Amino acid sequence: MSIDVVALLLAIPSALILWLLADRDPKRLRVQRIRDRGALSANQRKLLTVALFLPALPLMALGYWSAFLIWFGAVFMVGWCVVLSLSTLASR
Amino acid sequence: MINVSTRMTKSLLAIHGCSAVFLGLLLYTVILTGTLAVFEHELGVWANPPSQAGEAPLPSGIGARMKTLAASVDPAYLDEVGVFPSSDGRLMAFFHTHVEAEQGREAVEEGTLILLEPASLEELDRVTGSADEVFRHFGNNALSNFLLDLHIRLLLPGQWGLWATGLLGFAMLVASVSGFVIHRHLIKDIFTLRRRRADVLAARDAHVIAGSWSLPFAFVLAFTGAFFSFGGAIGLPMLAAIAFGGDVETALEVLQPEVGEDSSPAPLADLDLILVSAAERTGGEPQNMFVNHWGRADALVTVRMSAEEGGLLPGAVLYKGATGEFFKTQPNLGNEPSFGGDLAGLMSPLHFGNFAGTPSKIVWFALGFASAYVALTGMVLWTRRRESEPGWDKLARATAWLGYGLPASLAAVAAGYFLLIDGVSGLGYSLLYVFLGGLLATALLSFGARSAEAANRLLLRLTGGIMLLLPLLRWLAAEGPGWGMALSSGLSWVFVMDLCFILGALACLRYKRPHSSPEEINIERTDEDKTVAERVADAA
Repeated sequence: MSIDVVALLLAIPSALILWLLADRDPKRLRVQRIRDRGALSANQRKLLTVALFLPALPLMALGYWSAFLIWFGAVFMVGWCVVLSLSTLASR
Repeated sequence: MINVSTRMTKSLLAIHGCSAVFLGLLLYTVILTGTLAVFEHELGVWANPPSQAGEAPLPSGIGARMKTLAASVDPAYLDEVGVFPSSDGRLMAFFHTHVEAEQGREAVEEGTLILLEPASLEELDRVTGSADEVFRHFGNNALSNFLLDLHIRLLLPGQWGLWATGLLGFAMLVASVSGFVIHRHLIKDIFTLRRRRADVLAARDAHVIAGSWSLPFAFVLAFTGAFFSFGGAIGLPMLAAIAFGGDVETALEVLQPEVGEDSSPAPLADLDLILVSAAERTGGEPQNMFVNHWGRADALVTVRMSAEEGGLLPGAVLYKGATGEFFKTQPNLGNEPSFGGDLAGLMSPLHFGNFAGTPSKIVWFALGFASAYVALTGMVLWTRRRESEPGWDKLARATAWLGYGLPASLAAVAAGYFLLIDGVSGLGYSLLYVFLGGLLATALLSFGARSAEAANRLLLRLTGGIMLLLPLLRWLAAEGPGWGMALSSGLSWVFVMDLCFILGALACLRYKRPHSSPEEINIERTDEDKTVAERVADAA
């Protein structure tokens, strides 16, 4: 398996963390008037944000810059999709 | 959070909006066509596939085949020889020389262009003439070339197109930076998209959220795009004007490596062995090959390589043609490795997203799509906020026309290609006429519709309808391969592209814009929800 496909796979754990961050984001919960779940604390959000970038560390350390860019771009696009999905779910 | 004064925010909002109003539609055109051009080669293969996919961009045996072809062309055209894959996966071998031009005019390349099947290396056709004539002779790349010409030059002649797209690149940079500064709560709001709010607020959120998530890449794509446009239109001519009395050809020659002039005849070394050696030396895959002074003692072979696995920078290695001996690794710029050269070398992979094959292309396509969405939603937002003012209705309709009419017109170009193409013969200006006809028809629909919103829906369905027809037209009108034959011939992109067009068509045909209920429209944001920019906009 090429390192570039591995980069796409490494975006999956980051996507899950993004989903968690977005799902429990205090401002989103307040603005979309979602009251059935609690928001993450500031420390929890900081910890998850650090964890979000962990999959990219080996790519950077080993100098796989193309794979890093693929991971980076994929995470940003997944982030956009997560926000759209959660917004659609919330509006139902 | 970025702290800026209300006055500064107001100014930035005006700059952001003005750059969008005056250049937004053209910018959207460049971004959308650039997004599609990420899959330029795959579109080329889909539109006019060879009978069998090649094993590599330069398949084994190409060196020996080039020698038999070289024996069949005018020896004057052995001055410079290039072999490279065309957009549709076939191979092009161009044997040519530079013909001295009259005073004040640029030198012209003249030679013989030969089209080859990538698997069997069988000759399909050949034509002799100037570079412009011979490349226009073949229609197999016409669809990809049209898309690229629209993206790079907006179909404008000469340097005008490069100037225009370069300026649009700067406009995108300005919009990215001003948008970043205006939106102070970028991180805080990055997960907040209010779909249940009134239409204008929902449109604003859709624009801001897409812009926030694609911001770093919008900046990179705008910068690299402006670099490419102005590099060709201004940079090189300026360098030539300062150091070479305006002679661009000489400027380019000086940047080329020298092996020492020796015009005595000498047979060319085994090109296939050179390709194997280049692959072993760099860890990349040969993408194309050029031979200067074929058949002379000072022959020089340049092999351009893909980046090695995990790397970003493509490379080029040089071999002495007469002996096949390794000469040097060619830096990205000039004759010596430099930081500036590496930076210049990064522009191409960062702009085209082709540095790691399909995975990087998928990501770059998605990023391009997000940027196009940001440009379009920005225009929609700007016009919707002023739709009660008489003059702005026309801009709203123009936004609907280009926003949704451009994809419809591009789909019509693809349909026209399938109806007009005959083998690999040229199409002249036919695709341009189809495109202009598509723009005219969609303009009539947009400005004749009941409202801009109705025009959006109509054009989206038109785009979906044409896209749904494309696989059928490819198969029946252009006599392209069916899915079974394509997959068994290694042409999986034919199947994948058909599938993408069918899914895209269904998405367009089934799309329903979410409507806010009257109660939701009346919901106002709390003051805390609003950014300074919104408060300024509200005050205005």
